[in-house]
Formats: sequence, structure tokens, C-alpha cells
Amino acid sequence: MSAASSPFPHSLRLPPPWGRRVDRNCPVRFSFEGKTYAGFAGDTIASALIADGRYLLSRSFKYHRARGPLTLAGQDANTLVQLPEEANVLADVSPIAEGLSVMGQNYSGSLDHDRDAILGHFSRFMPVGFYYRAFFKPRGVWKYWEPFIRKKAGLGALDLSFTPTYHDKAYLFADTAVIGSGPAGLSAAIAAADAGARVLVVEQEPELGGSLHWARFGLEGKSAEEARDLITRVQRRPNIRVLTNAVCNAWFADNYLPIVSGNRLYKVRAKTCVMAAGAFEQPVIFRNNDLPGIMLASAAQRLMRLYGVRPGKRAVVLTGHDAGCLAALDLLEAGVEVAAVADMRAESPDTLPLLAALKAKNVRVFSGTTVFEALPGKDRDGNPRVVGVDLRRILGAADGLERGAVEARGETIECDTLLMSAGYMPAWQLPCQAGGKLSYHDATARFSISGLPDILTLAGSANGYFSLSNILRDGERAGRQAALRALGKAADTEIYAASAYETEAPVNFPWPIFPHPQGKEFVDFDEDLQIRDIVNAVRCGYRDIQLVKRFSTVGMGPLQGRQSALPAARLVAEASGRSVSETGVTTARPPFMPEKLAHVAGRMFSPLRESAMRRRHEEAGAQWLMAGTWRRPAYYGDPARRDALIQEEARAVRERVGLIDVSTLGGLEIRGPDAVELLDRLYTFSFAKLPVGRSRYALMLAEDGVIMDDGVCCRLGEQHFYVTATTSGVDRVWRAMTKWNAQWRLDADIANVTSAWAAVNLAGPKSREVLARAGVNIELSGSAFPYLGVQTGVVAGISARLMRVGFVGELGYEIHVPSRYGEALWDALMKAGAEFGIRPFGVETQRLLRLEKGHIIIGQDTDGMTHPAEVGMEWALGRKKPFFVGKRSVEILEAQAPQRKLVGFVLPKDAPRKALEGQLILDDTGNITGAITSLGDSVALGQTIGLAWCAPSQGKVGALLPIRCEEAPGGRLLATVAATPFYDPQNLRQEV
Amino acid sequence: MNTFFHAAAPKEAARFSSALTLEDLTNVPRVGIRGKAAADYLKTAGFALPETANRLCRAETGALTLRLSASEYLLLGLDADGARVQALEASLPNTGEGGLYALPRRDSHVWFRISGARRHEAMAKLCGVDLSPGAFARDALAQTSVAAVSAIVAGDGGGECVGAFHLLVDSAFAAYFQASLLDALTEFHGC
Amino acid sequence: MKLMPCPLNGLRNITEFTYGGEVSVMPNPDAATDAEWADYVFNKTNPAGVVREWWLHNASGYWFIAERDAVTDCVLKTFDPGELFTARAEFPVAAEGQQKEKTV
Repeated sequence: MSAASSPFPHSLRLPPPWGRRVDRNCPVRFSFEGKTYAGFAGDTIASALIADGRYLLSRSFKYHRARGPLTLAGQDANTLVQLPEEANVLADVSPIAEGLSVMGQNYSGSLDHDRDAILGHFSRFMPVGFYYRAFFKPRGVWKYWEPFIRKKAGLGALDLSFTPTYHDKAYLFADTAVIGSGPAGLSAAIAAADAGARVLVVEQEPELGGSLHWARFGLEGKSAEEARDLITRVQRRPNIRVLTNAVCNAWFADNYLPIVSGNRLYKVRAKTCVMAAGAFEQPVIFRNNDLPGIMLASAAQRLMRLYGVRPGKRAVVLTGHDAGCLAALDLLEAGVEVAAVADMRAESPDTLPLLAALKAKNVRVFSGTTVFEALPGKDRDGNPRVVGVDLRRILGAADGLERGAVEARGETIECDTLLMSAGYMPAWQLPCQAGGKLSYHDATARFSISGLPDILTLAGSANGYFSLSNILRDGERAGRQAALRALGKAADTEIYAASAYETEAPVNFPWPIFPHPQGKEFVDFDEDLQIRDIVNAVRCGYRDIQLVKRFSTVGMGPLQGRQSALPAARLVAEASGRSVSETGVTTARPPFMPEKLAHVAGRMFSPLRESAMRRRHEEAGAQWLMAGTWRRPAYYGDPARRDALIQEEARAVRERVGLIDVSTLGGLEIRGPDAVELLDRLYTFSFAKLPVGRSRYALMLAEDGVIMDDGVCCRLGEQHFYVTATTSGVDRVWRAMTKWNAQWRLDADIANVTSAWAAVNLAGPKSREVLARAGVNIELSGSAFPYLGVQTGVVAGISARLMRVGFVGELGYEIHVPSRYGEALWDALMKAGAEFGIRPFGVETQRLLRLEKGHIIIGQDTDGMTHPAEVGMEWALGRKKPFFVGKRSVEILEAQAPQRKLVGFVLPKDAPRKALEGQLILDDTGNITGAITSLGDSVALGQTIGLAWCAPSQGKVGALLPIRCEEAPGGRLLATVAATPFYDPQNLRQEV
Repeated sequence: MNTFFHAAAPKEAARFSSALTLEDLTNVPRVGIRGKAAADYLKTAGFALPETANRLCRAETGALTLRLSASEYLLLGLDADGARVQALEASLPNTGEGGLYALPRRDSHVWFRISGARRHEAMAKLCGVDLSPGAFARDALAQTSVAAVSAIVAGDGGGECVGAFHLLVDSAFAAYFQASLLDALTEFHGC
Repeated sequence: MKLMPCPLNGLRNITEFTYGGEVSVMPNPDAATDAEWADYVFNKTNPAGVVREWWLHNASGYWFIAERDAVTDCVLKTFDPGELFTARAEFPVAAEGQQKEKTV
């Protein structure tokens, strides 16, 4: 930061009542580009800099032209500056703060002396879309251009070490939401509140009132003061909630509105919505219309009334309608010299009272005249600034010339400020997102938006009204209509008669576009596009406005076409022989204003499920894995020893006893007179003859015969079943069950009780002894409690359901207890098992153990097309049943030639490489026939085993199965097809 | 604050301000009951029933009877009615017969109570249903999504002077849900 | 974000629901030809008009049927499946034909 401070020129500051937002008792010092400036609390960066006579804020995207504020309302990209922690900040809506260090962006060297400004001189070599054709020849040259272009593209710089602050979200509800709190919004809010609605007012600026604070309505300029009484009335209504500094960034279905305010994103649901967001003032298109010091009329009015700063010393006003003249009157009131008013309209002061009033104040008035060229010069600091304008008379269509033609000669007027206003375009973005269609009547240059859903209504200038009394009336109509609708009451239409509105003069000058032989008449300031760029895009064959946009980039800049959409549509319409309405504007998409990722990402919900035993797993050193939203232990111990630990856990289960938490396995309670019928229809097996106290494997197919899920079905009573499912499948299974029964109307209750039951699998040759030691009131002998048996009883004082299952292939008991006792059960079993060397084991270990038994895991060994025959599960199909889901499809599939088969395989002990899950299976000619689905180092066999898909002809036990493995010699690992189960093929150990 | 997993510990309150308190009621007795015979069974046991789904009734002795559908009820054994609800649970058959099905709500759900004048503001950070006084009656309930998980949000039946919401959520989400609640309520500290 | 009018729970955000597919009538699995069966399993009518579809309200576990104009994406009507599926479905299917469906 340089030591020099700028002098504080009081000559551009205005006294109160000008500058309602600044507090002159509160000076604030900040720096811009290393130089210190002083402003007041309430100033924005832009207003404080202009107060000091500085307009140059940025360099344009392509040509690096000097730019200053255009709208002073955050609706143009000329004011993008860099803050220490944030890039691309809009200087005209960002407040200054003590010590704030602001820098420019997008320059080489300094903002004031940007070396890249030279690019402007090469614009001839950068016609529209040039980058589609340049940079590619000769071949290979792109890689030299790319780093250069990357450096040049983009605007601000990111600080990658930045830590985001807390951002959050909240829902908000309203009967009627009113977007915008100018005169239309305020009157709508009051009318809606009076009708009894709960109203939410959303205002982008720091205070309510909108244009009431800076616009001049009428010659005397007094009517705004009266209307400001509306603000107090809104603030006093208890049923109106106000959000200021809040932007409605989109319209989503059924009035779902994202409102960004501070660090919070409000998700608003409003029954009805009034959009009173106003209209965008439009620039005139002429050569050098982008010079610093040239701004929209409303920008100058904001500057004076809100911030108390004169825009300059000597101004010219260029207008196509009355409001520009009103701005000229404001300038005079503020003591700015008005050198000329150029009114593009042909009518003279004799017919236009505002022009007459200006003339009466000794202002030179030019009718039917435009600025043909703004003349560039230097300001006090040596930076580019407008220093004069070349005024020319507009030649009418009657002269048989093209629109936009002007006389060959005109008059040069010196000035340091130019206000321009060609009319208004309604804020079309949100209404069009809601399905509204924007139309434009070429003859009268009037906009309208139609086709809105009836829960949304426009008011004020968004609805085409510009006189204050019409705006207020329209707001009242909209507010009342919206409230009545929200409250479910009948609309009353008395006050809505069209005759109640006064006639207004048109606001849009039909053709404010004046081509200059030397160009630089900017249509799109963000993208540095001139008239010829748009016209040439059409000449290149791009007639559709959507294509013109993509080819030329018009409307793709930070402010998304707010000033360029209308002139681009006019030019394309003219060049392609269509009306503006036919040409249209491009699709408006959210967000309306720039939106931070922090707002969208702030405080996301990531639901996480954990079992009742989670603390014990943590204490035992569990390494976690995610199964859907469940967190489960994969294995226990130091991750550096992962493979060894899994082997140790597996050995413990095979030789002694292990304990695994299986609470995540779904639990479905099926009860009622039709319980059997329901299960018989949903699963492939038959359950009618399953005895009470027994369980059976349950396989579920989808309607197309594909395996969907599996589990174990336990019969607890005649009409009572407890069915397990896979962890990730149970929710889907429950949905399928309930959906089917909504059609079948069986008398059965289906309850998903997964989280009500904590469950463990106590597995291993010692499991019976451990269970007995823990204390159980059931006889545990093999005859009393056989394999596949189901019992209810008490384990360690806890009521439990017990079942003997065979998933890991050892003697084992699945014990289910109400989940509040899960931890207690775990403790009791670990204690009882201590002397037997019990060891907790995790999901990875269980995967290995079941693999040794050849059991498939749905979703790992099966995919979206696997049907029972492919995995050797024909035995699970109850063909005698009249119906089960998937039965007919399976019959059709079985009649077809099999495409593939799932087989077990072993790798030789001296295999040169470790295979991997997912590696491909090949046939002799190198075609792909399948892939490995499961793989593990078997403790029991001392070999690597796995399951894989292959061609049916490859699946003979003992045959060689080639695995594609690039690192292996010849690119192949040779496995041998093996019968499953690999371990204990007679299943003797689990059935003891 | 104690959670579901500390089954034996007494409930503790987290007091954020005079306008907002959070309690864990997971240890309070409750039971779900469903089926064609459910309504008659409950009436015989002396419980008044809401006339429509998604409404609740409050007994003078404290119990809340929530009606979740045409034939499903959830009984919350608040205040003096803890034992009564426990007894009801014990009396229910679990054979699947009789058109009467018990649901293990004590274990399948955790239960929180948010009390205070600002409770609906706090809930607006988590729940997309309008719970403000004008939109959500004291005897209403909503089965909806809170913090992106399915939940039951119930009014207090007019029982508490300041007003409270009861939140019941699948117990597997207990730790996550409590963390989400505490995060949302933090901004109301000391207001 | 769209609102869906649930017959049990009222107007709710669409994220509270799971879509369950088009409502379609199962042909008699014993009588249908392979082609008819495959058409039922894999093909949907998907008209540019009113569709009838299954929706599940997640938090309450309630299935219902919606009639929606697929062109305007406007939900016209939602109702309990019992209005369409009025009788207990039997297998094997009765000789005279498919499940009874109430014509609207």
C-alpha cells in the first residue's frame, strides 16, 4: 500500500438530504489498488471512489478497455473488483470498511496501466467466434496457446488457502411472498397483509423502498416522499416479515424460492408470489458507450440520492423517454451543469412538457438527436474518461435509410459525464423460469409477459407500468389478488379494471442502436461485443438466438444479458428479417445474482446410521466402512496390518469363536392371516410348510426374474414371520412388499423393524459353549436346537430371538435383542467368550469366511441382470407354487441358452501376481467372457480363492480360467475352476 | 446430553435459552399398535382416539395418542402415564393374530422434545413443513423429513404451557440426528 | 421444488416421496405369451397425457396413486390404491380374466 493518500475533494460530495445512506459523521478509510481513499459509513466501494473523482474500476474481458460503473445497482460487471478473501465482488453494492484493501482484476501490470489494453487495437483480428477457428493450425500449436489463454481468461484470483465461514440454510413459509420493495412491492405487501395473509417481503438492497429513494416521479419530484410513507406502514404490520439484503435467486416449482441473505440460504415456500422486482434500464448503443463516466440515468440518480455524490461537473443526458429528462432535472437540482439533453424522440419541447421545463432552465435541448460517438480523453489522474460527445440528428425511416442512420455532421459538446437511457426491460428472469413467455410488440416497443402460473403475479414496472400512481395501483391489485388466492378465498375484481389505470407514454425508444464505421459500439459490456459481432453471427448462419448466444457469447457474462438481451434481439431480428418477439431472448436460468457455493453447500445433511454397539466397536479399534448410510466395522486394529488382521480374525472364527455385529441386516416382521400367502408370492421358496421354530433361505426376485435380495425367513408362529434381508437391500425389499400388497390387499402386516433389533452372529466351534456361559434358558444341544432352528429365549438376562445360520460356515448363533440392550448383549458375550479366546470380527472378515463357503453377496457377485440359473440357484425356486414374483420371467429365461455362469476358482499357491476383484476373465481367443466378483486369501485353504463370471463352456471344475492381468507373464494369470463350497464342502461344521 | 445408547441414564435437558430447551425422552415408555382391531383395543383400555389421521389426543394424565394412519397409533407414555403405556404394551399379543399388531417403538425410535417459544424457528432449520402456530395446531402431527431423515413431528396436545414439539426418529440415526439438532439450535443460545 | 398432494399427509415437498413406476395391470402370467409378458415387464405406455403412477410417502410408508398430466407436470388427482384395487388378488388368476380394475 502506497504512503500517498488522495486529497478529499469535497466538490463532488453533496450536502444532506442528498446521500441518505451515508453517515457523514463516520469517515472510513480504505485502499484501492494500493492508494488510500476516504469515504463514509454507508458508501459502497464505487460510490466512495467516484466521490474522489475516480471512475476506472475494471478492465473489460476481451479488449481490456477501461470501465466504470454503469448501473450502480449491481446489475453490470464493470465494477468487479478483488477483495482479499473474495474475487469478483461487485463494487457498486459492496460497502467499504475501515482498512479494507480492494484491488482491480484482469490486468497485466496495473489497473491504470494495463499492458493488455493493447489487445483493443487488435480487435480486427478477433472477430466474433474467432477462437473457434484460430489457435489450431498448424497442428499441435494449441498446446502453446493454451497456457497463454488460460492466463488471460478469467477475471479475479482465487485464494486456495481460504477457509469458508459457517453458512447455513433454513426453511421459511409465507402465504404471499413479495419480491421487491419498491412502490409496487410495498403497496402489494400492504394490500396482502390487509387481506389477512402472512406476507414475506424480499428486498435486495439494505433498506425498503427501492426506487422511491432515488427516482424522480414527475416534474415536481415530490410524489416519492408521500409514497415513502408506505415503508413505515409495512414495518408496522405484524403480519409482514421483511428480509433486506436478500436476493431471490430463482423460481422453482410451486413457488419454491431460494433467498440468499448474508450467510444463509432461505428455502421459501410461498402459496402465492408477487414479483415486483422492477425493470432494467437500457443503454443506448453508440461508439465508445463504455467509457468511464458514461452511466445509466438511474445510476446517476442513485449516486446522488443514496450516496450524496455528484457524478461529475458537466453532464450530457441522452434519453428516449421522460425518465431521462427527470434525471436531468435531478442533476440540475444537485448543482451539476447540464450541457445538453439529447432526446432521441422526434417530438419537440412544444409537445413534451419535460423538455420545455428543461429549456426553461436554460438547458440546451436537442430533439430527434443521439450521441453518435463518445469522445475519449483523460481524467485528472490520467485515466480514460469521456470528455465530450458528438451529437447527431437521427435520420427517419421516411428518408429511406437503415434504422440507426444519423446525419453526416453534428455538434460536439464537452462533458465529463454522460447519462443514457433508452427505456426499460422488465425483470424477466424469474417470471420466465416460472414458465412465463416474454413478448415484445415491435411497433410500440412494449414488453409483456404472459403464461404465468396462477400462483404468481407481476406488479409495477415488471408488469409494464411506469407512472407512480399506476405502479401503486398495480401493486395493490397484485397484493390483494395474491393474498385472496393464498387464503383460498374468491378473488374480487372491482379494483382491477383496466380503466382504473391512467394512460402512460411509451418508455422504450424502438431503435437506440447507432452503428459507427469504426465500431466499438458495445452491445454486451461483459463480453466486449459490438454491433458487427452480433450481425456477423447471423451472417455466419446462426439465426436462432440460442445459437447466436453460444457462438458470440452475448449474454454469457457475469450479468447474463441484463443490458444486452434487448439490443441483441433487435439486431438479430433485423438481420434475419423477423420481429423481436419471433427472435426472442435466451432461456433464463438460475441463479439470478451470483451465488456462492458456500450457500448451496452450507450445512448439508449427510444422514449416518450406526448400531447400538457402536461405542464398543470404537473402543475395540474398529476401522470403518460405509454400507449405504450405515457405518460398520470392516476389521479391528491398525490399518497398517489390515490383511494380517483379517486373517487373524478369520482364523479365530474357524478355530475358536468370533463375534460380529449384524444389526444392519434388515428385519421385517410379517404377521397376519395372509402372512404365508404374502411370503410365498414375494419369495421364490414355499413357506407354507415351514414349521414354527424353523428358518429357510429366502430369495427374492424382481418381476423380470433378476435376483433382487436374499435373507433368512424365520417362522415364529402360525401367522408370524421374522425375515432378514441384506443391509443395503432391506429398504428396497420393504418398499416392494408394501407396494405389492397395496395391489394384492392381503390381510398381512408388514413392519420394517431393522433398527428395533440389535443383532450379533456368534460363530465358531466354541460358540455353543460361549452362549451357555453367557447364560441362556434354551437347550443348546444339536438335537434340541438344530441347524436352521429358531427359538425365543433369554440370553444373559435379555429376551432374545436366536437362530442357527450358516453364512460363515461354522457352528453359529444369530442373536437378536431389542436394540436398547445391544451393548449389554455384546458385553455379556465378550465376557463369556474371554476364556475361549473370543474375538470381534468385521465385515471384511465375514466376506472372506462366506467366500470360503461359496456364498454369493447380492450386488457384489450379482448384477442387474443375474437370474437364478446363472448362479446355480435353481434349487431355490418353488415351482409348484401358482405364483411368485419373477416366476414367469425365470421360465422364459431358463428356456434361453445360458449366457454366462458364476464359478468358484482358486489361484495356484505360487501364482506370480495377486489378482484383483474386477479383473476380466478371457476365453482362449482373448475375448472377454466375465470378471472376478469376489476374491480372498483363504486361511483354511492357504490359497487365494474367488468367484467369477465366465462363459458356460469355461465352467467345468478343474478347467483353467484365464484372468487378464497386465503385470503377469503373457498378460494372463491362470486360475483353476473349483467346486464350491471351497471349505467344508459337506457343511458338517455349521450343522453340528 | 444423554442419548439413546445410555439406556439407563436419566434424561437431561439442554437449555439453550429461556425460549428453547431440548430434552431426550428416549427412556419414556411408548408403543405402536396397528391393525383392524387396534382402535377398539385402545378404546377398551381407556384411551381417547383422534378422529382422523395425523392428529393426536392428550389424556389428562399425560399420555399422547398419535394417529398415524387409518389403523395405526403410537402411544407416548408421558408424565403419569408411563406405567399405563408399559402395561398396554405388555398386554398386546405378538402372535400376529387378532388383527392387532404391536410395533416396537421403544427400540426402533429415539425421542426428543423441543420446548419454548422459538421452537418452530429452530425447526425451520431442519424441516420443510410449516410448523408455525398458525399452520400447525397443538394437536397436529406430521410424518415428514427432518434433517433429511424420516421423522414424526407432533404437537404437545396443549399440555405444556409454553408449547413443545415431540420428535421421533429411527434409532439408528440417533447420534447423527442429535448432532444435527444441536447444530441447528446453536444460534438460539442465549436469545 | 414441486409439491405433491398426499391423500394421507397433505401437500408436501416432492423429496418426501419415492416414485414407484407406472400403474400397470399384470396379465395372467399363466396365459400370456412370452411377448405379452415381456411387454408387461419392460414396456411402459408413457403417454404425452395423463399418466397414472405409484408414489410412496417415505416417512409414513403410505403408497398411493397419482394421476399426472405428463405434459404440464400437473398432478391432477391422488387417491388410495384401494379405490383401484378393490378385491384381494388371487393366484392362480381366475379363469375369466385379469384382476378386476375399476374403470374411472
